[in-house]
Amino acid sequence: MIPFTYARAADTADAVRRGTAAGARYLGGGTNLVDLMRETIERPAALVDVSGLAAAIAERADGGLLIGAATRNTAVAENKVVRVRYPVLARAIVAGASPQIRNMATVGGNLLQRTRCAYFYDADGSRCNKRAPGQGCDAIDGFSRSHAILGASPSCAATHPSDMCVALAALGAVVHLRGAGGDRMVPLTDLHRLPEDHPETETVLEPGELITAVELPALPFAARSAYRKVRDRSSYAFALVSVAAALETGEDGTVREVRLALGGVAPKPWRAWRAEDALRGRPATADSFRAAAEAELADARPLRDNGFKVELAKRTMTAVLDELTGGQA
Amino acid sequence: MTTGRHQGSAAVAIGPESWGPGSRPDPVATRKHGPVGAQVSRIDGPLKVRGTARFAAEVPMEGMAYAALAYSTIPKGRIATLDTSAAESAPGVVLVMTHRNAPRMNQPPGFLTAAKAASGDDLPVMQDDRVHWNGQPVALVLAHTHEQAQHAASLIQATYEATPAVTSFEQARENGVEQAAFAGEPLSFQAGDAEAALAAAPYQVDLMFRTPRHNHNAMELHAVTLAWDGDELVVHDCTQGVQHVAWSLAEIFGIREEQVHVSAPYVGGGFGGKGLWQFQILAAAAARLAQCPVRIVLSREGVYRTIGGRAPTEQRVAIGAQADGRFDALIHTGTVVKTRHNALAEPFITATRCLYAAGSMKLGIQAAYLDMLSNTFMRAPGEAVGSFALESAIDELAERIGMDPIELRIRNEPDNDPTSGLPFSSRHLIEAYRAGAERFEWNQREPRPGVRREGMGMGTATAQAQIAAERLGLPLDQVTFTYGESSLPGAVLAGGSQQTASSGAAVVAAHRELVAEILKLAGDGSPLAGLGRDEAGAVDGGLCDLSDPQRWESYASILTGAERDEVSAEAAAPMGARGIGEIGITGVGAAVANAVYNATGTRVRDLPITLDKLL
Repeated sequence: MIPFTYARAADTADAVRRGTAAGARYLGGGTNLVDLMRETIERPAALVDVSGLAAAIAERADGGLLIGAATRNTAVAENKVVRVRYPVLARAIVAGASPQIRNMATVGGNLLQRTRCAYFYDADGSRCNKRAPGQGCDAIDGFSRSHAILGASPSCAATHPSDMCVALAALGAVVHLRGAGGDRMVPLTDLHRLPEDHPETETVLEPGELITAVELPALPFAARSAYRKVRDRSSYAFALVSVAAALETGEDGTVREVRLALGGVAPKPWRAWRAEDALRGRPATADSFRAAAEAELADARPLRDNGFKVELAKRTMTAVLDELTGGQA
Repeated sequence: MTTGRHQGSAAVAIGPESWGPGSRPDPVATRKHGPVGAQVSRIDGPLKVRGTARFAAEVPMEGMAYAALAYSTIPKGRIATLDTSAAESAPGVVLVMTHRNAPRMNQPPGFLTAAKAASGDDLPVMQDDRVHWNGQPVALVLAHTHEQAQHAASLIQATYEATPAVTSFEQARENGVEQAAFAGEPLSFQAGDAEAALAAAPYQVDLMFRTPRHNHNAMELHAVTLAWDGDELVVHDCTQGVQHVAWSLAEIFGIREEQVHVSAPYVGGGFGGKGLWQFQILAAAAARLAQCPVRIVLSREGVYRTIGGRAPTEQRVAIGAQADGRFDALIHTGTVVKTRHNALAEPFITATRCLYAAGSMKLGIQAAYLDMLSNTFMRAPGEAVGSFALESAIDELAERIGMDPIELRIRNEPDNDPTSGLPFSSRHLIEAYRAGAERFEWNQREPRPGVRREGMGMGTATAQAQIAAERLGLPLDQVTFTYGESSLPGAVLAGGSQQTASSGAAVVAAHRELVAEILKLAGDGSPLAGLGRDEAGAVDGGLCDLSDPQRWESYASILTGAERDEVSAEAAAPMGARGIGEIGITGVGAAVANAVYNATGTRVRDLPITLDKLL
């Protein structure tokens, strides 16, 4: 019941013009933003509905894909090219939400969804630096079972909730942006910021900047890719740990190319660069996989209740890589 | 009430003496062809499907206002300041009620303290500035719409003078415990010297178990629509106990029981959580103050903040046994937390009182006190969490003795109720164990943990599709098998093969029903005319006469002839009629924990069983 205006953007230029007004927020499927407005955690003065803008999935000459930001998650997961060339993405989306949510949620909105940290949601009873900058954080010393073990700061350990983004991080997706200053492209792995002292600033987006598309580069070996989400229930739950992986092995049994990203463990979709570096050129064996996972988790800093995620992440990474080698490792 | 045989029995006699042991069977109950047991449509089914069954939140009343609550954010103390000005001037607001202007009301009669006492606690409702739990309503807003009320409630600003509160189990126990009671009876029982017998027994287990708080989560949010007509109060409620709520509201408002008219024809899930709580009392108070009908529908948050759930427990189960399995000692003791303002201590020894014979027995529950929302009944109160501890311990003992856990239970089957000595009115536990063991292929169980590797998941769907395809005479790709995830835990009871067997039995039974339905549709001119369901077989996408397979007609042809495009049947493994809601939760925790142990070698004695405990 906090008043706000609503307008459907006629086109991208119209959206950006409206979106740069003070207090304006872009509205995609509304599956997260509308919830947060009901909880009065988000209080936009104006909603600019961009769900009617570009929603095409276009094949590019180099074998990549360009996915319009307004494309519904269901459309991406069901797209035949996605399913054949980037199965990790289709599986992550299906693991991410119920069909009803997937039917509404847009690709752009998924990138910008906010944490489900219970302290962030508890506006009446808890302190949260993300919701009220400088207020303090009740999660760090509180019930931290779902919180981050990598990339957190003393001011925030909330995890990024998206499954889709974990797959996009592994695939090296590039985010296309349009703002008042023109167009630019940002790698997905650089879109989200780590919290440091300003957890309220979650992305590198400029005020009013609009996500127009997500580009998937050609990545032939991603045809062999997988997503595994480990959670308390097999449906309707966020990841405790998730792993997106693509693997290419040579005829000599060594790892030629690998992509790895983690969900549920960090404030952003976590590309496992260290593990990838540790694996390239190594034998595609369980020992190598475990060593790579150890390397990635070396800097893990668990809180009171989430220490199990360190071992869970290592085991899940090892298991997914094992699955991609046909379980022979 | 669903869980409320205790509460129900307080208001209504349990039953005629002829229901007791040794009495003659009721001739109607033994009649085989009456309406009971026949396949009938739910009488209220069409109303519910069409949305015309009116639940408490749907009954219209002229001039009605909508209520919303603001809740305390500290567990104990006093309200220091309460600024309602923004709420009062918000759009559509009719009334803001706080302890400053609420009508004077009597203390609610706490559940279990009188025959028809229904209130979750006996705390005064919005009568002073004291706060007793985090989430206690501190203000109520009435407005022309639900949304206006919610918004205005969010504008109420409260500050508090907090006093130290006890909010953890450990803290509560350190402050001291007291003997717990249930409906006035102490929750304790002793026969012989169980500790000495335990110490002397050749086989022993002595284990601690913990169970967490459980919140009520009925699909229908708690709601009430009510109005005053002079001194008469008309209440459209979602309660499980209409008479209890009527009597209790009469006590609170100082009127006669007959002046309160409570109806609750449809309850969208109760499970013990739909009694009398502050929302009904506050709605009636606001209706009196504003002189208009009032509706309140709690948000899910509101349910968590103001409707009690099952209290946490900490239980010790110790059993001393002989090599032949016979129990020398059975000890089940422990601590529950509750508030000073409610009468229910979670009675986790209720199942232990009647399950096993033992040479000596010691049962007892102590209560520790928290500053929290009062706890209450939840499905299978006592038994649900008590059986988790007891039956987990028995499995651990069975392993220690090296005896099959079913056999161990059978060896300790009592002749009479072991604590009262009275004969059982009805007891079929051994039969049930044996029947279950047979269906689960229990004898093929691998008792060593962590050995059996086969899983479920896609294997189940495929196996069931295979069974269905074979039965239906269809290629596999024309069969879709779907199964609810919530049904999966049942399969854990006895390891990997049980689900296939039990679901398969249901598929086979359903197929038999389906053949009968299809034969009914086959016309007089059909080659199948006159066949009984056991004389017909499925082949090549149709049915044939088993004794003459040339007599065949396709499903498509039969359905076309009958001008139908689908035919359906359903079946489950046949069972006797029993209230299964509570049975479905009693013992299940232990069964799952025991199966998890069998699968992984890890014993979890601290619920919930989450994956981190298995790493």
